[in-house]
Amino acid sequence: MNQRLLFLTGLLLLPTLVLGSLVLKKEYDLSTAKIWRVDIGGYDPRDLLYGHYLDFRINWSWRKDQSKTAACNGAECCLCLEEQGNNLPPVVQAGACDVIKPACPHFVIERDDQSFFDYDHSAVVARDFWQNRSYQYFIPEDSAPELDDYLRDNKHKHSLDIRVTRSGKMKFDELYIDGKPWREFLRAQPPKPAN
Amino acid sequence: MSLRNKLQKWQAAGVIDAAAVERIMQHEQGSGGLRFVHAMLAIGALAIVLGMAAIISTNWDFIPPAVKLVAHILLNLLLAGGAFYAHQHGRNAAREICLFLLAGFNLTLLALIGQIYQTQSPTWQALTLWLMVISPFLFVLARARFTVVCWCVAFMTTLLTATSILYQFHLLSVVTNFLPLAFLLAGQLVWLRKIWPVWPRIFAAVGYLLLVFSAMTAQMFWRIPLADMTMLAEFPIGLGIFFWPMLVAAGLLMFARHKQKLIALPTSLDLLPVVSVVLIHLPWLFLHPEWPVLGAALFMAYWAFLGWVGVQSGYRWLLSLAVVVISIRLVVVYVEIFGSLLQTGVGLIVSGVLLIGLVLAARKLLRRLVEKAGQAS
Repeated sequence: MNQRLLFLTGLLLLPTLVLGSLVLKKEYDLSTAKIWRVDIGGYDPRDLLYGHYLDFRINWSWRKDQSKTAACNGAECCLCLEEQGNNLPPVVQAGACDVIKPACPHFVIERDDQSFFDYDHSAVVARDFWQNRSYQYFIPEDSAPELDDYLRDNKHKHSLDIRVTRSGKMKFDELYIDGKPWREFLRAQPPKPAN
Repeated sequence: MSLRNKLQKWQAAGVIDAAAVERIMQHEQGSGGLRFVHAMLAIGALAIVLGMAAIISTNWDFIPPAVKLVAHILLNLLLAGGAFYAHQHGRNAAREICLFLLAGFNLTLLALIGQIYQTQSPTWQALTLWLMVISPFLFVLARARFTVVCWCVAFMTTLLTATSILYQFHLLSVVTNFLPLAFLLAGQLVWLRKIWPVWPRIFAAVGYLLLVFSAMTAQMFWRIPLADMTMLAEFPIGLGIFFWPMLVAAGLLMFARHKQKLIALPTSLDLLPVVSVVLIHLPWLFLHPEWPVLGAALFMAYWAFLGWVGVQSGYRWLLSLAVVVISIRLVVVYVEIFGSLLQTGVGLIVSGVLLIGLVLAARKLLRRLVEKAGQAS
């Protein structure tokens, strides 16, 4: 095969190689990540379910000595997770990354999308940063309406497994309703009467 | 008037002979048919990509994520193989379809990865990665205008999404101001046109379109009273500061053409960037009250200029378009400015008279141009 053909082959395979590597990287990250279960709540209780994904916030359990004024340092903000045991969600402490990272074995680090280039977060209170962040959780289209009903009625507790990688990235895993995986929870519900 | 009727009229006038009529008809029928086929192929390919995106959006639960990922990756590899085979065997239409589908399917694969791994990355990051991986093979292999136009749209969407979502107003200003000129430069470089087919032509067209669009929308800023220069800070696209750099950039384009670094074009087309830059920035250059009439007048003057550019550079359809746009704007100006029925009535009569005058003048101009062309031939 001459150089030109090799060049063309490389060009055409480049996207698949890059995206394939991305998949492998994500698999590796997930396999080495520690799993924590956290409680979640709707970002907007009137409209929790947006089409194919949930829009939610994480209800963090704050450490009692969490400062109400500690600020993020620069664009990034960090969160330290500590185990409580007894299947309780982790207690967390938020602060500047240069304070949190050296002292914490399990930390999450996030960057505000708006601060990617030069926006300074030195004035942003770390606790507010983490409390106000919203996330999305994708769900299958055919389960969406049924799941929506159970998420809206405020009678059920919603929690989520998060995987925290060694580099401090947070990935979402299984969603739970009243402690059961959401698929299992939906299957256990009595069928609704037809309209 | 249909092409055949027109040709018969020219034949009767002794402008062309019967053989020329037949040759022109055969040529037009052939290229028209080809154009139709290409348009259908492009629409078909776009429909397939959109269909794939819709299927992935449903997020089927009964197919395991690994199966979905592997199937999608295999599909992409198949398309890459198809594009390679078609390229090697000179099957241009098949190559273009495979390349378009491959580009689109890489976006849907990225969406699938985001869905399966619940990634929280913002849209602009996904779009940037997608553009980075698809651009190399598209730049080298794709020649279909439809694909190139789609790439330009994707490129601009990514830039605008990134800069506006990140609230990087200064960056957004730089992008929106200099992007049209950058497209013009890339599209008209002589050496680039020699080594790279199709793409530069589309870049140049996109550059002109963006310039005209920016100049057209500048009229809105005459509606904002600029009583205090500190107000500039409140507007994300505070354009005033970019006036001189952009004017210099537009001048440099003219200079580069003079030095034959850019392709030769009529002077009128060279003036277009300069005039557009002035019009885009004018509302930001001095303090002014709310002046919608001036905005409308400048808008119409700009379109009159575009009509003149069209006549000078051989794009006569641009003159017809200018007449239509100015006419519509004339009617709109009375509706938006005057309140009472009497004033609106008078305004509409005046605009009607102006409109008729404008159309008659344009017709006269066109007739003169046709006569001139006849004399020259």
